[in-house]
Amino acid sequence: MVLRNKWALASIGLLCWAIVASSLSAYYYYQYTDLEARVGEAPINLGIDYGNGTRIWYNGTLGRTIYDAMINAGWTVKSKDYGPMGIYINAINGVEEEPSNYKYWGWWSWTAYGWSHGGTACNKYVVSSGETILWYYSTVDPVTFEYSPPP
Amino acid sequence: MLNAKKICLITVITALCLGSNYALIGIPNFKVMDFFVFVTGFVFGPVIGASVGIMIWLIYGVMNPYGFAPQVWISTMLSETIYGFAGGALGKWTASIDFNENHLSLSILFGAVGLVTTLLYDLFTNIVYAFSFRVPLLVAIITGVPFALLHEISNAIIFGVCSIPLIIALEKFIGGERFGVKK
Repeated sequence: MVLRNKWALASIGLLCWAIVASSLSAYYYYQYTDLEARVGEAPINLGIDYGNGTRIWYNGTLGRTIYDAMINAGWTVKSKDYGPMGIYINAINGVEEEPSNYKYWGWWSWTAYGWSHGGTACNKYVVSSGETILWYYSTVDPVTFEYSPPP
Repeated sequence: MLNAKKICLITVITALCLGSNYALIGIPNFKVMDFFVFVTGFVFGPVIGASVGIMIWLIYGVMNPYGFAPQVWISTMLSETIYGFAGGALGKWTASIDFNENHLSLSILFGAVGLVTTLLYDLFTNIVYAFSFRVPLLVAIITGVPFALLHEISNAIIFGVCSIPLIIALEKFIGGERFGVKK
């Protein structure tokens, strides 16, 4: 008898959970792709700091993501694609990272509290209009792997 | 054969469904009507359960504050019968089961039936809505998910919690043998 079989009852519960979870997943996936398609390109203030005192700004650069804006700004970018995790930037305009000297590229966003380190891959970050983004070539702390913020 | 007492009960349930629908008009997709149709099917059989569902929508579908669309009206009317048929089928299937001994298991079963039948109801009505208003089918189904989930989860809870007490009360009232009351 189904009612006396605890596994059958658990399966019924699991079926209900699967229906609800699948519906929610489909809904949020649709909302995400819809929003992504609507966002389009936005103008941002894109800058690059080579860590040697040279800082160049490309104000009003268009892009949907930071990576798009970098390409639109005419930068030469060397990167590696990690699929769903996004793109990792190895070199910009010929300046390559130096793991032996703990020197890496990192992107920073200007906020009310100062520079804030970007938490995602640059091709996964959808920019907002007027946002200020700076690529900074800096030394990373060898112990904590913490990036030093731009001056 | 239906006696006067049963006919009276069916009429009262139909009126109760209509009244509750209008009372709950401010909460989209939360209705106790589906539950009453299900219980009617359970106690009186699938044909009567389905008929009550159709009768309710005959009135509520036409005099509906949200408006009237013939295709959607017919689809909701037909979809509502699913609760009556499910109730009737479950009533037959659980005829020999002691409700008091299997209270928790039956509650889970009723809750699951509430969720699955509501899923089918929402799916069918969304398909009709999509074709009627020329909305892409997938978009109609997916954008309707929050409303559908509210409908499905609320029905699962109502079916799971309230079915057994109401079925016992109705069967006692009309004289169900299952609960030791002779007709």
